[in-house]
Amino acid sequence: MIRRFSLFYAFKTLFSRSGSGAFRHIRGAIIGAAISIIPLVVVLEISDGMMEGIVERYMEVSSFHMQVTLADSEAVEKETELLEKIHNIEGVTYTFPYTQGEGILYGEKGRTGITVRGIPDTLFKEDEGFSRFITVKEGEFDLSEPDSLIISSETAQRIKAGVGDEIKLLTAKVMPGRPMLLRPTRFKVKGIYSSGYQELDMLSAFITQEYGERLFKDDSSRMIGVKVASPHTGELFAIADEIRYLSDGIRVTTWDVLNDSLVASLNTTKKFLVFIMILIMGVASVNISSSMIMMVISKRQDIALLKSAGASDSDVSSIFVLTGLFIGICAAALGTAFGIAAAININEIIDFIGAVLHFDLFDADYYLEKIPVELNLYKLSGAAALAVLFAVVASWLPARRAGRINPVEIFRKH
Amino acid sequence: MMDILEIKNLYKSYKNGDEKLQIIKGLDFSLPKGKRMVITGESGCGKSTFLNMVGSLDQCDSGQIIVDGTDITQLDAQGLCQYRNHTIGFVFQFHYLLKELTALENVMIPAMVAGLSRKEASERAEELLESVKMTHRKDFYPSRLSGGERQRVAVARALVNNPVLLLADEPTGNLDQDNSRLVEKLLFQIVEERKTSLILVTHDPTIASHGDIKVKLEKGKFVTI
Amino acid sequence: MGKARHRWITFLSSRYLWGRERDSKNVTQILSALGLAAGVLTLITVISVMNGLQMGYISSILEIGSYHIRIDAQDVPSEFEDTVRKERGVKSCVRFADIQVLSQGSLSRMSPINVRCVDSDAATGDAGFMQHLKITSGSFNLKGENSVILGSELARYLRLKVGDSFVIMALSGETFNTLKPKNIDFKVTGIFKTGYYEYDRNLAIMSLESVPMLQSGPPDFKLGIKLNNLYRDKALVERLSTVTGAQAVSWRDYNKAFFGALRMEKYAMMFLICLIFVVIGVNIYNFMRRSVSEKIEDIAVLYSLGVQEKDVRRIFITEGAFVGIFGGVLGVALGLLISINLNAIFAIAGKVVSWPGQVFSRLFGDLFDFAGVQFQLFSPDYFYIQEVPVQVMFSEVMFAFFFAFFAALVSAYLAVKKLDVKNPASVLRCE
Repeated sequence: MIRRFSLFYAFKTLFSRSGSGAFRHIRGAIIGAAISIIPLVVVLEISDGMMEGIVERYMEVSSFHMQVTLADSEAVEKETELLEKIHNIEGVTYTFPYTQGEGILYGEKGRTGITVRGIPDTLFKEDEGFSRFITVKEGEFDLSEPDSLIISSETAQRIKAGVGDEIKLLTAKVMPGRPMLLRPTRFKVKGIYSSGYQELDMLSAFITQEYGERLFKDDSSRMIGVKVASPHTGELFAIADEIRYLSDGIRVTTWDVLNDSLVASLNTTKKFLVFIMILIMGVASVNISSSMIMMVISKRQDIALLKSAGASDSDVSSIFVLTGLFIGICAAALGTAFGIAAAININEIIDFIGAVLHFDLFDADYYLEKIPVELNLYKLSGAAALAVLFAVVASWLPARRAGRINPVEIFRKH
Repeated sequence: MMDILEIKNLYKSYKNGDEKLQIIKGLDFSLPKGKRMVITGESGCGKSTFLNMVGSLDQCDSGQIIVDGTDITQLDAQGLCQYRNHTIGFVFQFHYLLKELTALENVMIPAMVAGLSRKEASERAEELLESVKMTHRKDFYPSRLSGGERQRVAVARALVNNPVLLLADEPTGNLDQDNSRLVEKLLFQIVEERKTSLILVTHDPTIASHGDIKVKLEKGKFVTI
Repeated sequence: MGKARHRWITFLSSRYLWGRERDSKNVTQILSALGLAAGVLTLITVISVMNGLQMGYISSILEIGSYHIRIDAQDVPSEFEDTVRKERGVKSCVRFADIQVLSQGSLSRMSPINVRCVDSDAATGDAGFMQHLKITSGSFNLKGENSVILGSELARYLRLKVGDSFVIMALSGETFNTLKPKNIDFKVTGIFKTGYYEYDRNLAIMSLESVPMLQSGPPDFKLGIKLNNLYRDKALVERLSTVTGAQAVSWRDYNKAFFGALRMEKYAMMFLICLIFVVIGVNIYNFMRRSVSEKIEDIAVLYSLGVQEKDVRRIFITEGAFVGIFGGVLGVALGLLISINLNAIFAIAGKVVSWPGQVFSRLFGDLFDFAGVQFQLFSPDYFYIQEVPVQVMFSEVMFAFFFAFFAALVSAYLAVKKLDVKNPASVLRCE
């Protein structure tokens, strides 16, 4: 379809040294298109980074990769056996029992509602995912003593407590047939942590498994947390199925279900942003169209000559489609390069703008402390491909018009 | 002041590739007021170049061009604009009317540039269109006018600000015989009526013969015929 | 002279744009104007939606949560409340306390919540508060003993309805060491919905008289003040501090972090959308350059008639201005049209989009990072609000219009900056 001569001519005319080269026409188009790609790339990388950052934190610290809930009394007895069986499943990296409950933390100077988790003290030491996102700010993540309590810096601020302080936790336990049991339990703050995301921090405090069982032990609150090697692939669900078959009476919930509202709202925001970025790219393509038209007009005589020498309509149009392709590739390369540069340095850029304006741009309280940027080549090449596609489509009509130029008309005017 | 135009020691050359063509070589010339001058010569850019220089559309290499007492080679950009707007009027070979404007509006433009209101400019333009006998077509766009008609409008436009000197570069060059005669006759008539001086470039010998002063551009200088 | 100049320049520009015998078909100008309109439209619509969403939170927070001004009232005797109320600009003043407790509903479901204890009479007099607290069942009746009003989401989570029993568990004691737990039964007399999830899920309202039951020790009373004009807070903060002798805090300071974050989000979004104008500006620049080169003959002719270089530039800049105005106006009109009818549009669009969206996600689900996530436009499950709130702000509409206009103007200016009419003869040269 595209003959060699089209390629030859397109190449020659684009890069020719003499003044009539076509490059100057399309230079503006390339720049405009490249500029329009930058925001898409930045938004893609950052939003992915932020989403992953936020969701990853929930996945590693709060919901874990999978939650196995033991529902009947028999299952409770089989817990240890179950733990081992799950641990032996291929792909499982860590499995542990934990308890969870709600309560009110009372410090000397303040109180706050809290979700408390009783976890084994080995979790912090042995699970890489957990320790990755738990940054100990003060004290230590030490649950060796039974009355240890680890709270977030958010919580510490609210109840105005520090490491070494004594805290009371009020919990309630409902036993069937018995009146509700309210108990305040004393704890000692051993460490203060931060996960980097305030909303997550607000929720959690950690206590020992022993105390957790004491406070929240009740059939529906017994849970096993599971961490797997590849939580983002189908393997996750395969493992979930395997666990379900291990015994009756257990319910397995994967992290995507546990965090579904979070993920969905983040996704909607992201899709919305991406939509607008693509709109910007569309607007830039108009520029490409008009540049192509300019180029066609300036090359009218050349086209007339080529046709009189035997070039067909499609030969001529393919010259311009190739030019469009060239524009797309250049714009994509430039745009993604700058976009990546901007995305990688986004934290520095934000800090810089903040310093210049004397203003904290994105307050760490509501967003991640640092935006993690992980270059996703898959998405990047998607953006680049889209840019090239836009360019080619934009040059389509001008190319067709070029193909239909009648050489006789051109010669007559001269 | 008897002379409308005084040329002193004018030089102009062109670079054509590697060659340097000396078109005007040390030209000295004076044109008395109210006279109609015709420049003939072979096809080439020399005559037009001279006209363009007098019209300040081109610059000489050296020398003086004094029009109505002012040496235009010494004028700054603003001064030249004023000069072109008030002192001279230009008629080109290709009419160069603005396609987006009607005949009337085309004639109005120089007046509006001079600062006249639309109404005043319109009145003046109408008057001039009448003198070139184009009143009946004043609201037509150039695309609807014939070559001869367009040129007549161009003449009217050139005269709208009452210039003291009219420059015409092959005004009939693009017209057929009959239109040529018509336009030429009109041109000469008008400048006589309005006592405007005229420098006309042509290679039509019939037209050339109607001028008061006839010269030929030869070897960079004028030769009186 | 200046005015006359404007006249003929504008005259010529307008002829170039929409005169009957236009040279080109004006495709480029139309495209530029459309591009500008698209930018303006997007800006107005998106920001109006953001405003709507944000305003929802903000007004709930201001009317229910933080009040316009709050004063730490432990040391302020109740007589002063009347003094405060009589201050000019003060609309209402309510004594309240916020206490965190653990609550329980049916089926032993528990939730830590924030209880807002208010002076019932004063609260009913606080119009803004009552307005935002839409009672969906029961009534705002705190007169009965141990009455409580719950947020709709809290009621749902605890499976409670009007008339049910609501149990509060709190620790009380004189000192930290003598804290003892206790249960208190309350009766649900009403359920409210603010539209702000935070409050609907975590807030319960009781009478001020319940405070000693929920906590002992010195109560942490505050005065919640509403103003006639939200924005005249500064003067009143100073005044009230002097009058009461206690420290008054304005809503601006109290909510600084959160509102600041909301504002930041809005600015970031505006910035991204304004990039459209940068790209369009580049478009206009290129179009104009082309226009100039096409009109080079006309320019030379004008020059020969005595037109100055800067006037020629002005012709093109005026053309750019016209395009800017046209595009801007079109964009504003469309933007307003879409913003106001947004929900209707979404209803239609949602149906159109969700079907292919679901097919798409089923086919390509594995390719996306988060496998199995459903594709929905605005699924009500995930978006707490029922319909998209839109709030158009005049100042922002004006900003959009002027930004578009400015973009067109600047681009046109840059395009003709390097106009070179030094040698018109070269254009008008004889053949």
